[in-house]
Amino acid sequence: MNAGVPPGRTGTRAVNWSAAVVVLVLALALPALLPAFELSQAGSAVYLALAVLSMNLLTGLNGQLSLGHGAFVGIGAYTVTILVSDHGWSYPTAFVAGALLASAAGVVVALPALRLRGLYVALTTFGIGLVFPTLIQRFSSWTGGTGGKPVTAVYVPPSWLGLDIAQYAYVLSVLVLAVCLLVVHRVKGSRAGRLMQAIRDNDLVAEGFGVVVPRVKVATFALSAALAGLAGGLFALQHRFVSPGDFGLTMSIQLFVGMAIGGSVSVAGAVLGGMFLEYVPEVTERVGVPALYTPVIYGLVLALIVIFAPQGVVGLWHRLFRRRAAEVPAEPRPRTPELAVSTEKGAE
Amino acid sequence: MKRNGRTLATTVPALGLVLSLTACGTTVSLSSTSVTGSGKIDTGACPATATTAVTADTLVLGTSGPLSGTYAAVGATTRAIQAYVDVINEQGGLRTKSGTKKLRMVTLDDQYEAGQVQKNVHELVEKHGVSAVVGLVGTANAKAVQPYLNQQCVPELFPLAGSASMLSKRAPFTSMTSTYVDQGKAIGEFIKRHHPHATVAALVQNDDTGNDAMLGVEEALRGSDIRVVAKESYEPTDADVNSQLTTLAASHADVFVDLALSVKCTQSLSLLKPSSWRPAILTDSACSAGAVAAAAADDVTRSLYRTNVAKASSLAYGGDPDFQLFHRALESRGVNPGDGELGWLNFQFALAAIANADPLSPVGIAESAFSLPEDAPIGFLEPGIKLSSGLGTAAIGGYSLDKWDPAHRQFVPTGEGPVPVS
Repeated sequence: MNAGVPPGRTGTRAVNWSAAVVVLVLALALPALLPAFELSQAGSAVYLALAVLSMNLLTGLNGQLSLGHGAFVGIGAYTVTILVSDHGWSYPTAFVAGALLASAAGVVVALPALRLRGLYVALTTFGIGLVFPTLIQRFSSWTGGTGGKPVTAVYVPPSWLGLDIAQYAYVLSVLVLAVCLLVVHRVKGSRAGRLMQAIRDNDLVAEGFGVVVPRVKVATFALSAALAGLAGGLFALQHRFVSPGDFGLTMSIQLFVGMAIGGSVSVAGAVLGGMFLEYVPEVTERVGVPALYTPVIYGLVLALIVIFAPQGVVGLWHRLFRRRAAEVPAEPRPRTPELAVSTEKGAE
Repeated sequence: MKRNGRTLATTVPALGLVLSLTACGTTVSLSSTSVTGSGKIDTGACPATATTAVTADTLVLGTSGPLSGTYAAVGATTRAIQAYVDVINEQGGLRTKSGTKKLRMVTLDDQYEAGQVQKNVHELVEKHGVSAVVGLVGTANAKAVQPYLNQQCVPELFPLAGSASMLSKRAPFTSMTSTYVDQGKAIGEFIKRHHPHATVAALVQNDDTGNDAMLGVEEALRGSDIRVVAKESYEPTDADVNSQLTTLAASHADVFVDLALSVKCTQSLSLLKPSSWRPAILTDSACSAGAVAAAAADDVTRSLYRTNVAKASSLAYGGDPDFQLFHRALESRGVNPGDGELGWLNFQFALAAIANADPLSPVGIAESAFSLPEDAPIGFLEPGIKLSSGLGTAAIGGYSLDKWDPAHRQFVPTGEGPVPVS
């Protein structure tokens, strides 16, 4: 079954899968365990994790930096809001439309970015993040402009599930995230994933081996933007209100921070990143740090992570775990980026 | 190949499970709830806590505002509210129809993001069990939580927002002090009174703030001899309003209705300096005293009037005890009084609603908020301004058009009395 895979690695894989299943079951049990407010926080962590996952795919796997992913989340959120509220679409079809539209926007952004590398791609996407709230205001007859737009429809669960509307929204969000994690995990180990990683590690060498670099880069951007759009759909489902301020540069930068902290090459890192973004501001406030200093704490944590755990919390965990389990032969370590920033060479 | 097959074998069933679970829900349009009958809220759909009177010595209230982030300066309104709570508690508490109550204000930071406001309001209601949410800042933020608060039957008392779309008989738990439409009406009435045959040029921010106010101006001017000869709008995100001002100046209209917000208001006044156009200028609360002062355009602003409701002028109200209390409270807490006027005034409305509530329950407070008596103790309100009551209307029934005093850099009442709008 696992011919060619070292026994230690098979065991680790089994443990990882078991842990993933346990976490999923626990997450799905939360509606029965948590009061409404804590559940809504958990729901926010879920869509943030999906948005961070979309960054992991783009940056961790393919080495492209984005500082404007909040815009793709916004496209998904606004698409779902407009289609459900104004055109009577059902939520599932609106989710698909939101993901497709965000994906199309991703392709539009990726095409000019093909001629650029590293921080220059980041600057291009930064522009997208900057201009998105303006676009929302330009099309105010559809989007509600600065005043925002409420979602005037709810997604009611079937009675046999025994869940209320908020609980159902949470459960669906968890399931969507779980599938997306699985998809990205599988993509990572697939031929397509190896092509992405080859480009990340050295695009000239990849091209020399016959990889069609532009095609892979655009496809990765499209898939990443689709995941971000899906995260936006979950935002609309949970919050039932969208406004330009929710998808500005702050969100884009937060997603970047979440990715760096969780670990840009690990799907589990996306979950940790989402939880960090949702819960850390609250924890810092609880210990008496004024909200004004939250960005400073973000910056400090980010600096510490870059210095001491460049592969994020998940990378740090693996390092510590491997040190302890010294008797287990270490698996050959592929060259992975720490933060993708460090692998890039700048514009040519 | 084998790997791809395994990928499909695990991914496809998982996707199928999620799709089937996702598809089994039903998308249902929200219908209006909590309709009213004869001034009382139908509490049939409310949770039990909404109708339960507060018997404890302390009343828990909640607020959310931008205490950090890009718009942290706007958070002065939130800090003004906290300062007011401290003053009330130092004085022994708030006298209500259910006895004197100490106030506990739960204040959360939202960085002026609607999503965060939603989270905060959920926390205030579900975790802290607040009896009312007061002084939210910004139209989008206040609108974002309106459906939730009306569903939970928790009053959303007097947010710092002016969109008339928030006032509805189907949202009885939302109350507002003023709307931009009403301010526009007051400007229109003022023009009719002082410039009955004037030509008007208008600069409008293309959002609820500007469009609502312009709607009010045009409504008030309908049927008069006054003509709007030029109207220019700009997007809130535009860098400047240069081209708009060039067009408006070319109209040489008698009156300039300047409905630009904050920095754009400063720009618009500043841009008039090099031109020969010197119209009478009328603006609303979107253009603060600070914004006018920053233009440093004394020559232009000699005939500038702004809708006003608070006792903000030290020249006119320096000896007034409400003005003095306001200044003392804010200055002692390091808050610039000029930034906290509306927060203070709106919270005074909220306190009046709470004091007058009978019973002192969330539903009782909401009913009290839309039926404030004319003699409600709103000491920081400019004299002569009548209160308006009823569902779907703002609480302020008129506006003073105060004149800009370039020497003292503040708006000063003209002594003419307020313009009624409802």
